[in-house]
Amino acid sequence: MNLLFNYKFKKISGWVFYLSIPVSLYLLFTDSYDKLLVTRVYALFSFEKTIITEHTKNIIGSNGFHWIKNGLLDEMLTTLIIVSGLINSFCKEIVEDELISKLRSDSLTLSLYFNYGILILANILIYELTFYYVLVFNLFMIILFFNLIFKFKLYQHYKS
Amino acid sequence: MNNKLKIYRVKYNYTQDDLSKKLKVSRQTINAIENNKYFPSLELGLQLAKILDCKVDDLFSLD
Repeated sequence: MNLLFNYKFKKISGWVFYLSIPVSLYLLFTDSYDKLLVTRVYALFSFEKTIITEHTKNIIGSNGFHWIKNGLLDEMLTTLIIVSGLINSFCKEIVEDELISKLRSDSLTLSLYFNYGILILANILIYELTFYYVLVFNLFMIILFFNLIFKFKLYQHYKS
Repeated sequence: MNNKLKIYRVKYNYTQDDLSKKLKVSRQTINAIENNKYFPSLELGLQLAKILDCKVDDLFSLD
């Protein structure tokens, strides 16, 4: 079963992946990703209001199946990073042989270990809302680690 | 695992590049096999034995 993408997508997906990451980080840290491309979207589920009671500081009320206003840029960038990262990582090499498959499999295993190692450390050391950022980064870390480790292994392989 | 791939390859006057083209793998893969950095699959081992006109046992052996 061939689950890999054509080699011709490798270069363009790599450019898109490695350019969209710094753009997304810039928008995240300047807190401007939610203010661009604002439009009405249909939400299956979204937080709607904050209820403050005497027993709890706040309970976030939720509502589903309704139209809301939302900045589309973060959704677009998330999709772009995931799709381009997957295509770049799972593109065939010019000569796709069993050693390349092994390198890909080893890189994926290592990236999973790294990712969950970092998540365990963050789980122990990072608390409250800051942990939300860890979870957001975690969405992309497996694919980024995998891509970087695989590229390093390929570099070593082609150098031999 | 030991292998005598290099000995058999030189015997038949093949370069790593020649062998890689016959097997449709990269030259680096042949190099990795020769240097015991990678142990090929059964399929690739059988193909190597066929091209080099020997048995798989002649090419590869356990320590």
